[in-house]
Amino acid sequence: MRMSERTLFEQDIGSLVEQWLLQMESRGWPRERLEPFLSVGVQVFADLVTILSQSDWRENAFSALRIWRFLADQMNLTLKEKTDLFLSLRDYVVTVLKERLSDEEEARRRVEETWKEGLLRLAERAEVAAESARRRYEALFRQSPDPCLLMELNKRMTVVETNEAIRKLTGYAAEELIGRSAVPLIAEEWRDAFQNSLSELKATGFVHLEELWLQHKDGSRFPVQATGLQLLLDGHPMGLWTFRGSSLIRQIQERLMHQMTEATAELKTALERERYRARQTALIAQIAARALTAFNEQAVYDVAAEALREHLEIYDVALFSVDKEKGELVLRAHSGAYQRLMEEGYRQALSEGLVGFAARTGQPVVVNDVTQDPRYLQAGEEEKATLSEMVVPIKVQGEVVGVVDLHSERKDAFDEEDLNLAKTIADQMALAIEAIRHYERVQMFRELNQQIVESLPDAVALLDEKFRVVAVNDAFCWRICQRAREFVLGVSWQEVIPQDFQTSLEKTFNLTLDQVVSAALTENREFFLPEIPFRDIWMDLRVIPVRGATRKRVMLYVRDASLRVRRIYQLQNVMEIGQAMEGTTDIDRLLYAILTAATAGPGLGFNRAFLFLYDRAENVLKPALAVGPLTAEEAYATWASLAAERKTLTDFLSASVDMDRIYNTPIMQRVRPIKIALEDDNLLVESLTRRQLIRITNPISNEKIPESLRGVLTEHEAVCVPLVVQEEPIGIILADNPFSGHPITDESLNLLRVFTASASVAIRNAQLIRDLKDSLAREQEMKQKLDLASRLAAIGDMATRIAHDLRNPLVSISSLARQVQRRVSDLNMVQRNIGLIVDEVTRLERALKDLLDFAVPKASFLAPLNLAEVIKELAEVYRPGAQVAGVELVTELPLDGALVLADRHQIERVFFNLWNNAVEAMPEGGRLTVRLWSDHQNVYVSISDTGQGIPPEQINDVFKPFFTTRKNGTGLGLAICKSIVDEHGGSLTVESELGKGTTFLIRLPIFRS
Amino acid sequence: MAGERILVVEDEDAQRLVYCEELKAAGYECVGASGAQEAEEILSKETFDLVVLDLNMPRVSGLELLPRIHELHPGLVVVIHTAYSSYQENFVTWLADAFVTKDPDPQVLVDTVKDLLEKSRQGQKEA
Repeated sequence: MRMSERTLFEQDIGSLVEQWLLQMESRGWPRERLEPFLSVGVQVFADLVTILSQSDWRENAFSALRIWRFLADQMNLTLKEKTDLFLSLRDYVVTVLKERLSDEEEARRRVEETWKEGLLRLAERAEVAAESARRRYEALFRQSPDPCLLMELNKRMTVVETNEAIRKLTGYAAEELIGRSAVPLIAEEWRDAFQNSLSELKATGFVHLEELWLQHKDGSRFPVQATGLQLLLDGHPMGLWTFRGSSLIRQIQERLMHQMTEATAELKTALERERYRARQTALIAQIAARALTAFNEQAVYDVAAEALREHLEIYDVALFSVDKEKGELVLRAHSGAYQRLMEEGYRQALSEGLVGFAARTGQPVVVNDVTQDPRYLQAGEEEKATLSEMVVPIKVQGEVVGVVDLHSERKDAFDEEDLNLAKTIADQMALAIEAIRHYERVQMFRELNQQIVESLPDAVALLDEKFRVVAVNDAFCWRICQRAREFVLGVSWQEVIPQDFQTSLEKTFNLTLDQVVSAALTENREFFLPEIPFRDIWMDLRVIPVRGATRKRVMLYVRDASLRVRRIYQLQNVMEIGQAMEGTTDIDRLLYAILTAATAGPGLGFNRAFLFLYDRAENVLKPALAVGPLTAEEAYATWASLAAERKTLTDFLSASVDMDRIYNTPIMQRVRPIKIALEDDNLLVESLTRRQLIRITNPISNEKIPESLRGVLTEHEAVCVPLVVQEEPIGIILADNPFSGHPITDESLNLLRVFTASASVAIRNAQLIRDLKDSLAREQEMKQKLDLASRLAAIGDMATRIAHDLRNPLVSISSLARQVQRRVSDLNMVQRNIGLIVDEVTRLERALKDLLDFAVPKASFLAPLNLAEVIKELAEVYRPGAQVAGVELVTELPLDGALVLADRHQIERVFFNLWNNAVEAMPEGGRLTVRLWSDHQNVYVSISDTGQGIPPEQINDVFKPFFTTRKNGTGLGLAICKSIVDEHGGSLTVESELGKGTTFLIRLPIFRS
Repeated sequence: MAGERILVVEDEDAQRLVYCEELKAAGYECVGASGAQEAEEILSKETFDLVVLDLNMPRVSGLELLPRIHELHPGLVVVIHTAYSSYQENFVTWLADAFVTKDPDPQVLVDTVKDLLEKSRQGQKEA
């Protein structure tokens, strides 16, 4: 089916499926339950109809239906619902199929048959599933000590399974219950309540009844607690009930209550006793706590006064500080009657009154009747009613800095306990004041520090030796710990620093933070742990020991290194890509590398990328390559396998690829027919002509996307980047993330931009190289054809020449010979003719020599050769063969290092030829001797055999071409040898003695560099 | 029949010698020419009954000579005598009265010459 046809078909089916969904909705199916059919149903439906319309429908129809059933399974439908779904679909399939088959009866028959088969298997499957579930629950029941009941969630409440414990509880054995209604088990007036609980169970999957009355087999009734759990067994909703006798629970509860009451009574008295002390303690604690948070001395007085007022409302309280310079006490805070004095800024000489006494002496004073004490001084109207006064000095390192002054309108108001309390309060205040004074001294410095630390963009935390966070800045709190400062301060770092950060550190450096901090503390050593991946960023961690006068601390300094890491990573990637591309002049391989880099996880990480190249001849953009999955299923499978492989970009780029496979992926097949004319008005063309990167929102319904491409893209954003080199359009890259749904970030776009710049150049280069290669190949081909033609011409020429040169002398010779044959008695003529024949033969020889010169390659690879070595090596190869022929090869080779300039291959040919001749001259076996010697001008090699020798009349002919004494000899061997030696500027001669043997002598001039 | 004159145009000395001797032995008067030019000169001075013409000769080939003989001496019988049978495909050779591929045995040429001169005599008688 062609693309357009298919789409049309799918559109039809799409509206049919829509109709079907509407019908299902009208039958009470919620739309969302049918959603999966809407998204994939059209395809499945189309496949099903297509299969059913083919002749082999019977084999394949069920597998298509199975996809449908798989969908139904995913939706957790009951058997009944599935059946309903399938049956309702049937008519729609028939509607489409009868159009395609033009035969309604046949369409109905095929659908009916398929459906019958499908439903049959559906039912079988349900039975099998139910059986296995039943077995599972049966085992569960038997093991349970609690009474359990599994029942269907319908009105009848049919019991499906129960256990032994239920018999103990109700008296009914399992076989008396299974298959029957559970209703008789429930006490009559509880049946409605139980029935109602079933709807809750259906709605929420769980129900708990605090009280439910059951009816025993013997008629008695008893209360239980019941818990119901809904189970889906192959789509059937079931209720699993467990019961617990409530009387037992009640007993236990009562016993517990009783025990608790007794214990409470005992505790009560003790509690009362402690209450008073607790109050005091609370006061002190309050002062202490507040004072510690106070940031200046006045605040200490204020909080102390406030705390005293809250807890000791019966007394008037005044708190004084000592002004040493003026010799006065200053009223700093009060509670009770001193508002006026306070506002006046009351001061009192150190020499006066009880407060003055306490301040001077540093001793506490308790006066339970002020009228009797001369030291008493009434500060103002407000103190008129005072009868008792107690003053306690506030001492910091032995020096009185202030006093706590308490007044009472009663006599004998203060006892020892009050004094102790006051002393404690004074001590607390002293501590706080001391702390504040100390604090104030370092405040300046500290604030300065704090400001610096706070203003740092980096996260900083200070840990004490117990690894608690003692100081921290906002950056650390929020960026690292992700919680407010108050939840970080004072807490161990192990709790505030996220676990994934710690794990990542461990993975990166094989060190725990614990080890690092400990080492920093104990070894007083700074640690720098760069580029720890943390969530989507990278962190540099510095652990710096901070040594104070008294304690050791360690500073954690965390800096966001993402920008740097990312930049390096990107540069690395771009570099890797660049390198890979530079090294790739094979254009297919290059395109694949480019798209791989765009889609590989370690690269740009797009889900898919499409590369369109500009075709100048047709003025269109044509798909060159597409990489990525076509469907979500394929995407997940691909990613899962990629994740398992953990590849780097280099791995991807260097992996060997089967280009055939790459060009035949589903996505490639899908885009291959697309052609985008450059005259068209769309975003892709716009991107290329304007040389601009364009973000394409919702491409699937974007009017400015070619329609052919819309089916491939999705509603997820895509991006189109032009590939341009020196204003020359190369093509575009289209990339999107339809499966991960990740947004396309500015960062990835920047990277894509950089990447496409180098990709463009690489593609251009590869195209140029390809063109160059093509033209070179064409040239090469032409050259070969020319060569062949000229060789053929040369051969033709040669053949003519040979024919002419050989034919004429032969015709002459034969004519002369015939004449001789016929008139052999004419001696003059015979003699003359033989002379003429010899002349003709000489001519023939000359012709053949020319031919040989032509045929035997000239010495073309001349190099200095040590002949002795050449012969030695040859002899080793030759000797075994000679031995078989009964010939002993003897060499006498003085290694004098004399060199000749020769073509080794040709020289070897000479030796083999001569040795072969020698061996053949000794059919009864013998000895072949090879001797080498040299004088100051030549190297000589003699080759002697012990054969029958050459007759003297032939000795001059042996080197002549076609001279042979052997029946099958060509007569060319010695001629060739001679010609080679001659070519080398040497000579080849022969001496022979009949019956004794033959010696060939080779002479070659010595080579002097 | 005796005394009929034959011109043998043949650049190969040995062959010219052999063919002339064989034709003389058969009773003809025979003159040799070693090339086309020499043959033309001889033809312009003397009269012949038949020409044996080799084709493949240096400088001027028999194929050039043949049309001129035909023009200048119409009626002169020409036998092409060559080692290359492929010349038969060249239509120029059709001007000749016979085409003989050189045979090791010179008798083949002698027989052809005899035959042609016989026919030529009969033709003249009838005329």
